[in-house]
Amino acid sequence: MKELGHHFPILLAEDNPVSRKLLERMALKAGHEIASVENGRKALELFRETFFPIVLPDWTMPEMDGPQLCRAIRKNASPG
Amino acid sequence: MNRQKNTGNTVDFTQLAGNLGLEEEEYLELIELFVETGMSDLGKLQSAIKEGDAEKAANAAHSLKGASSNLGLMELYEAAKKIEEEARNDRLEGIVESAQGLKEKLGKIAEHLRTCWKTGRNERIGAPFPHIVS
Repeated sequence: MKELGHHFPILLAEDNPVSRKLLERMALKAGHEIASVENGRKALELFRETFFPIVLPDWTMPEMDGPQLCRAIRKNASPG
Repeated sequence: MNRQKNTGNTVDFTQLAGNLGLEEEEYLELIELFVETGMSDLGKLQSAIKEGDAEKAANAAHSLKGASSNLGLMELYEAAKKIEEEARNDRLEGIVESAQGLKEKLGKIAEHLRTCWKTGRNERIGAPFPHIVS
């Protein structure tokens, strides 16, 4: 795995437990901190409490999918 | 120790672990979780077929497709992908046989994993999948 020289906290939203655990492992191995949740709604709640420079959303998830999460984060982050 | 030499099984866990930059033991833990969740998805798929619920069948196949793809289990991925496509097109008739094929493939992965635990981690003998061990 290529070392980029910077480590970032990552917020992962992934409903599949296998994919979630795999991505957690890979991020930790690369030296990143990672918080993972199983749907977009939980990711948005966490994002509102803590800023994450990187958010990795799955596309299809229950309750709130990836595109909905991205729109909500952009709305959340926009000024005013 | 050579964990990939197993009865007629072409899946090489050592190589697949290496492809993902993982230790073999880490990968085997993911495979164990995969078999557990895969069996659950398969159960959902089979009940969806019985109920004639194409969307539920497609979602179950989609879940199996994603996990198998991420772990590099491409034979399972292809089988799950085909089932998902059929279900998305509301063609449940042909899926029954495909679902059985998927079950057999998943069973082979489980069997291969059991052999790996037995040969590589004696403390796991008899313990990995109480719900599917024959």
